[in-house]
Amino acid sequence: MSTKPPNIIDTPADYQHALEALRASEERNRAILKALPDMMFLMSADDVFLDYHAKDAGQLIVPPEVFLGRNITDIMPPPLAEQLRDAFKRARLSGGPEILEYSLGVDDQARFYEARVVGCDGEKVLSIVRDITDRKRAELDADIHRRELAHLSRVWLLGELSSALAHELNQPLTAILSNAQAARAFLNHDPVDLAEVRAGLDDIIMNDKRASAVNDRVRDLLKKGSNEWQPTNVNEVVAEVLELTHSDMLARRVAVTTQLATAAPIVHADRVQLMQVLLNLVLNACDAMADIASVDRRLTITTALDDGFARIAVIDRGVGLPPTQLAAVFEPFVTSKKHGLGLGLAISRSIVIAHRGSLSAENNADGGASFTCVLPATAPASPSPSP
Amino acid sequence: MNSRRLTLGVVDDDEDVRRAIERLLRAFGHSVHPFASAEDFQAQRVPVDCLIVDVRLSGLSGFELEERLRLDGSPVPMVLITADADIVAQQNLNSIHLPLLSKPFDDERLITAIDRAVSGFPRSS
Repeated sequence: MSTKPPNIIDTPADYQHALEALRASEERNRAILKALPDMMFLMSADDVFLDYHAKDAGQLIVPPEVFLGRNITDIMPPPLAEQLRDAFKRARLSGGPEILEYSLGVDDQARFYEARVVGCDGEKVLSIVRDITDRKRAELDADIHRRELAHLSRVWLLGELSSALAHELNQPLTAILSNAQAARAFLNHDPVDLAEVRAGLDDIIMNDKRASAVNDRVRDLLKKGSNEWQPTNVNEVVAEVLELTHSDMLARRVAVTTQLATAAPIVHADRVQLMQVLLNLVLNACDAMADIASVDRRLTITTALDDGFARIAVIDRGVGLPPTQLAAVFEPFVTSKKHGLGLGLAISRSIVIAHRGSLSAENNADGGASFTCVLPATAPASPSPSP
Repeated sequence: MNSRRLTLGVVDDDEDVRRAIERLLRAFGHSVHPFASAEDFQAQRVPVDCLIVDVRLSGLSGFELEERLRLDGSPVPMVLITADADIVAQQNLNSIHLPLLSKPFDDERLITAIDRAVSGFPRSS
């Protein structure tokens, strides 16, 4: 069957030697096959099952007597059979391996497979099929978990922001109502002061737009990061969080200082989730300083790019963490706040871990606590000159 | 409703809100002085019949301004206003007896609160 010319055997000794080598090689191949968890199917030039290998028969969806000698289109469901035939065709042209992932319903359950197809022996192809169901399920579970976390964190973020948002909306609403009522009162004057009425209406229009802008900002904020992982500028996230909390900081008399890395660290992240972690750390820091003199309420946020990692630290001058809580502070339902649920840091840590980073807490030597978030950095924002 | 023409001060760091309340009080026939902060009011020493003061200000808060003026021996009738629902809740808990309106508020409520603050205020003269 082989198209290659047979080896030239000159002497009986050569013959004996070649035979032994062949036997050894066959044994080796058999041993390799035995050890492989994969199934193998040898397909003819017109996609008929010629031969197979399976470590045990339980791996096969249909018994060999059903599929051997039959065309793949008779065995596999039509769309999948076509996909496989395409892969076979490509492997005949390229030699392969052509890789195809697919799923099949087996006993009412989806099983996942990866086929690696290589051309062999002329127009035949060998399809090496691995059952990847366990890996696939773990990936799907992780994905569901990530989505749930993303949803939970958005709900939580809205809750955290709701009072700040109410304040932002109440200001233009106040301006609108007072201007409208002023205009109505001016209409009762004799003569009517039309200049005042007109100025009032102009201010109503302006403040209505201001209220809409608040709305848009919230919508953008929640939409922008809806489960989108993208290169995220850590310095920008810090700035956005400080903008959101600006009025809160004023009210709480907290002076904020930032020391941001000159080349902004970029991380691969869900922006909203990262904002949330930071927002949580900032609000916690403020809470920790609620009972100290207002001149001492100093919050410092630093960012740094450090050996391929972005480091964000939130440093307060508050009461610090009780040594007994230092280890447990990220556990759910551990809180030192009167009205806290103790979920903020637990969720934050889950988020940071999902970003392949770490979140840690320590007390400062000179008072207060520091929370440090470390994330793998992709590249600095502005390319620094190469060394 | 009191028809007396009053001299009023409006202290709010939000320019839009400040201008709106100023216009509203002017429409009701009062003379109004705007201030962007508690410090601004203290520096200008304009005599007023009543102050309308936002609680959350960038410097001294509305509560702190009231306390300072009282401790300095020059108390002024005051109506506090706030856009922060938490402050209203806290005020109810602390039962501080300063009139406090949550933003946004109706003109009638503001005028009534001012009238009450002015008429109920112990006058030295």
